[in-house]
Amino acid sequence: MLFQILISGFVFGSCYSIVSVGMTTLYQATTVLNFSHGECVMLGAFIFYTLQILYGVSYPLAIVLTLMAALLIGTLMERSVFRRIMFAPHVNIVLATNGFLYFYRGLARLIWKSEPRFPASLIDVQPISLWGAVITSQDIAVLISVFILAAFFIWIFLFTETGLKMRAAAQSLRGAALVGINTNKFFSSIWATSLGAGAVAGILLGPIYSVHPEMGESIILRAFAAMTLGGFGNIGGAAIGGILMGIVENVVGYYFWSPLKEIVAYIVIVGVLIFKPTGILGAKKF
Amino acid sequence: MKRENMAKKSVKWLILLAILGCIPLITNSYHQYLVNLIFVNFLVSLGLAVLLGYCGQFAFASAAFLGIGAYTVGLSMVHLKLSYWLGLFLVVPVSLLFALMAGIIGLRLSRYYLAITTIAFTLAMRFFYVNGGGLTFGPSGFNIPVPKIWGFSFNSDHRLYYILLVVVTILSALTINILRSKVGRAFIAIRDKEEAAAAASINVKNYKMLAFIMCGVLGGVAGGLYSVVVGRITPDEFGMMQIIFHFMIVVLGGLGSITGLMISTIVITLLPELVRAVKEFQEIVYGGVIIIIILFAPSGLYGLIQKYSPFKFREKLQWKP
Repeated sequence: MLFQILISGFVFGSCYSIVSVGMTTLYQATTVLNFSHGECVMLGAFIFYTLQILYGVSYPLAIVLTLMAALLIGTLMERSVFRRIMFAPHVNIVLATNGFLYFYRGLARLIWKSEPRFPASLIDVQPISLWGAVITSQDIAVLISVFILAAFFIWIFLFTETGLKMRAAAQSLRGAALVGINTNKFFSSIWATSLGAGAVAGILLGPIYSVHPEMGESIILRAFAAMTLGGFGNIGGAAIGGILMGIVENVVGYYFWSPLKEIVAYIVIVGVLIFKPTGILGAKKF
Repeated sequence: MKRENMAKKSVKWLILLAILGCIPLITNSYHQYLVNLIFVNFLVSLGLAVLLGYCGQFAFASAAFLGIGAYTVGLSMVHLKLSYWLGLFLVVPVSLLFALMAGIIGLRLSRYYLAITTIAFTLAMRFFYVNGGGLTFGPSGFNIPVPKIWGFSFNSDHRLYYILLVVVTILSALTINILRSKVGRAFIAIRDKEEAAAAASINVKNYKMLAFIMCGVLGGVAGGLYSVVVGRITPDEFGMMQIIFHFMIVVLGGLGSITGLMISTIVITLLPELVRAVKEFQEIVYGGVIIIIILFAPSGLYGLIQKYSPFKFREKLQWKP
């Protein structure tokens, strides 16, 4: 049974880590902590659901269209609002992201109403039995996508010019602009990437989590916990933190008391901040 | 001369109080309910304004304290059969205790760490209300008994208004006076530069703790008032939406300005009621308005009014973005 719990914890955790990696990327490059990221995950899941179930678009096309929508939304958010308030105090920026939170939640409630929906699973194969654990097709899909995404992010960060620019801009915006990096263009691509990762998480989480307008709140809390656990602003840490978060949550929910699953995130946040505020991989300096 | 000035000032305040006292004569029950909500929201956002606007601590604790106050009053009336007044007094030590707890953790943290921790604190309290079983009546909440004094029961919105008027006036006058004293200046110094404040022999730790306590007690008492204003409390009211609501009032008021806080409390409380006719669009309008104000009036509603009004405002906005 333990193996089953670990596997399903790992699957959920991988999704959380995609969300928190998206948030951390944005935070590291622009110092904006996007409180509406959970809502962006929700929007991604809903768009995918609509395309796939309601309009009968084929799988690969639905995924591509959802991703394109997410990239568009991210670019629009940056262009219309966050570029203008880049140098405003942090409270204003946080409030603006909260404004988007309200906006997206209202939009989802208006278009898709409140009842939970279940998109179909990504790939359709027989569940595999492994050492007494049942691995469903969606679990396999999540695991494969996470490995692809992780490889993609590592490649971008460490081996491309974009990654180099990103690390430069994260260290000093003014310095980056001085050596000829187009920071404006760069920022909108970061916003787009971040929301794109959120949409992927939405597509993967949809079938196992159920899609409804309130799903953003619980997801963003777990992403916060994952970010804190891995060291705030540390991308690798956010990935590991997300997976740990999913496993811890499942173990606690099974072996102790299942409602406790909901507050594991808060206990992790407070515990980490009291005993090891820099997280497991060390935090980016504020 | 000074005494004359003071006499003039107190006459002015007395006239304002008299006008406020006459509000129930012209309102119907629904409008009075909204006025009551404005009073409660003002008190709780004043607490957050002390912590966020004056002391510069990025803490979203006010929704948690609102919940703690509301549940303390409600549960002490239902379980212990205490009177409302005793319950309202009980709120002060209880919220003080929680504020101390939040402060002990909060003193070690800054910026986003603090924001996330206080959000976690709020939602952990909500978890306790939902899963408290018979103690907290679970997710559906419970009805608050009507407060009574010597056989006179405050059973209508108009009657409740006078409780609110007295409590909110006393507490906010007290808080505003504290903010105008040495304590308030110390808060502002800490907000602007912590190291400089410490160098000017301000005990940063103690003052931060005081800000947490002020936020906690104001929020707790506001929660006690809120419980009777709405008549029934459920755990879901004290979650993320409530946090954003208070945060919005404080930031849109222009951080660190009491007049601005009053204006934005009225605007933000009435906003959902104005768009009630188009119920489906309520959240969209809310979000849109926040974004538009942030874009076009970065120093809040008060800054906007200050810029375009023909009158001169005595109170300057202290935190210019």
